Amino acid sequence: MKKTILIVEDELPMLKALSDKFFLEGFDVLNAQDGAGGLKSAIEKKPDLIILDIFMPVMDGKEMFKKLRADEWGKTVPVIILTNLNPDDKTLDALMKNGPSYYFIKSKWKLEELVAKVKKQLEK
Amino acid sequence: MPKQINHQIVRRLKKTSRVLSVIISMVGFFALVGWQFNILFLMRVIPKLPIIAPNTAMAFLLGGAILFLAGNGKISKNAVLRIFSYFSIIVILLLGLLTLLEYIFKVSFGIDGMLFSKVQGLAPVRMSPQSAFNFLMTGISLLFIFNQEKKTRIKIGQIIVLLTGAVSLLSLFGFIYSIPSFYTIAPYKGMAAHTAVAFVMMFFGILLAFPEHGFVRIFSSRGLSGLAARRLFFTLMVIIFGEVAIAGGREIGLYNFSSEALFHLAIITGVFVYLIFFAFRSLDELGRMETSLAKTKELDRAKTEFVGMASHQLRTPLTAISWYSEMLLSKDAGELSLKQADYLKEIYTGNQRMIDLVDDLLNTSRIDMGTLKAKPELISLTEVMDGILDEFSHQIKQKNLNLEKKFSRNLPRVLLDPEHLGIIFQNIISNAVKYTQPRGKILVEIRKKNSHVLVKIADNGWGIPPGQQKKIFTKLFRADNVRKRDAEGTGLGLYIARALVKKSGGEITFESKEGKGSAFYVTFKV
Repeated sequence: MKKTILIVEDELPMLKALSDKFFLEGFDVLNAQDGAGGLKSAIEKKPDLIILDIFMPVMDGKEMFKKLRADEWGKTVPVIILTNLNPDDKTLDALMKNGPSYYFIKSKWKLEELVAKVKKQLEK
Repeated sequence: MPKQINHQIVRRLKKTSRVLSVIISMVGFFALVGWQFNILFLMRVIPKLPIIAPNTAMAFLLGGAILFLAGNGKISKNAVLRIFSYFSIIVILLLGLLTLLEYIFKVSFGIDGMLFSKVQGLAPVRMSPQSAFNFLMTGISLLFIFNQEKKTRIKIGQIIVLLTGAVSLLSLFGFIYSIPSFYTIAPYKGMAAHTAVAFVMMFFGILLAFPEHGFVRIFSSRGLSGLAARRLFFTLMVIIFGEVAIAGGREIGLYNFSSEALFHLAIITGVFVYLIFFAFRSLDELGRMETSLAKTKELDRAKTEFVGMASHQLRTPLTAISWYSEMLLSKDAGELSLKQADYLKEIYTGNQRMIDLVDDLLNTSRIDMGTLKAKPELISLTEVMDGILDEFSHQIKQKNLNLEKKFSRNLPRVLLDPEHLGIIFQNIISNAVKYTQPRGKILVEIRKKNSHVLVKIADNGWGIPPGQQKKIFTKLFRADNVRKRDAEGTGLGLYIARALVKKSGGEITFESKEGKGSAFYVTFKV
């Protein structure tokens, strides 16, 4: 069965690249452009994995993540944080408390590597 | 350390001490002249009051000279001056001590008349018991401070001279308020008025000779406490000298009792007005300091925010370029011609360089702003190193470099930030790979050395020109030989590496021969 991943990212070029890539890799892809939409989509459609950006309008990734973890189903879903923040940023500290599976500095990673991480996570 | 020192104030206070020392010597000198030429005025200044003793005058002449030399800092450098100082201090000490003994045991050693015999029917006077005590204390104090050897010695000297200050101020107030029991110990004769003044000057002179040490330090410190100390001291001086002047006027019959009361009132009122004015001005200043502190903090926060924003804004488009060229290269959008693939690779590599540059710039600004925080965990150096070497495997293969790894077994884990460690290794290895000719050698060694773990990264590449080795950790520095051969590189790598090594409590050193290669050694505490 095809795995579903939800990509929450406000920058359209990034969202398009990610969703095209994961579609080509054989995933069902759900998109959202802000935290509010992402949270709604996550709770309704219960994807197998969520890729989450931090800086977003309406509801940012930090808040969405917190609300997601407060949900019964959302407690355990694997979340990969995708960011261009510096790793010593306070926001990131706060995020780590909610237990993401990984976090990625976007510019430092190839798409290929991200795909590999996602696949590995879903095999668990 | 306590508060910082205001060096301008220190210089001024030292100067004051020197001026006082000259006046002290002059008091002694003129009194001796008075004794020599029978000038009674020079001996006692104010009629009816006690006469200054020749020995007292002699001791002031010498004491003032030593204080002058000590404050100048010349004694420690000059043997002749040192011997002169020792001799003079011993004379002062002996004069004080022997006179005291004379009083205590009711004997005479004949020292009182050793300088002058009878003058104008006056027998050579013996210095008062208070003066003898003061000279003993002053002598000991000078003995501690004159050579400027240690701070503790200066501190002790300052504390001892407090006794001189207490006794002489008491006498001075005795003169001011006409209370003879303050300046005489019955049945002996009292201290002369200018003797008391000279001792007060000696007291301040010794304290101000080293205003950066001991409890006097507060007067030369920066900030409000130093300012307050100086202002209060100033008002104290106004009171003392004002009262001395009033007493002098009274003694020579310039005014009656009620106008004298008016003068006292004027001094007190003046001092209060000054202090109140000063207190409010200080409050203003405090307010200004707080505002500027708040502004500095605000600016820091703004800078941090800017760096955060810049990192986000610059990285987003760079990531987009990187990801799309990567997708095109992996034929996600269909087949490419060889030429297209070739061009795309150039775009991809160029973009990657830009990403590295942005990372370097961000790291540099984080280092310079102090916002780079370490998150240490117990990590294995070899694992981190393997990860970094993996990143370079492609380049190493491309240049046909011979990579030798020598990792000791059972190395202890170390408490370090893995990301920082990664950046350190990455920067050094990147240089080794970049600046070694094809088919060259790179050695990476990790082993334990005493209580440290040593990481050695060596190559047989181009090396660093000897004249430029001092500068390699400087921001934006790139060696000439490297600059000629390779346009790449920002000159930030080793600057960042060293900053991070320092932040991790480690050390980084290197050795290099131009044309033969370089070796970098990084050590971390276990």
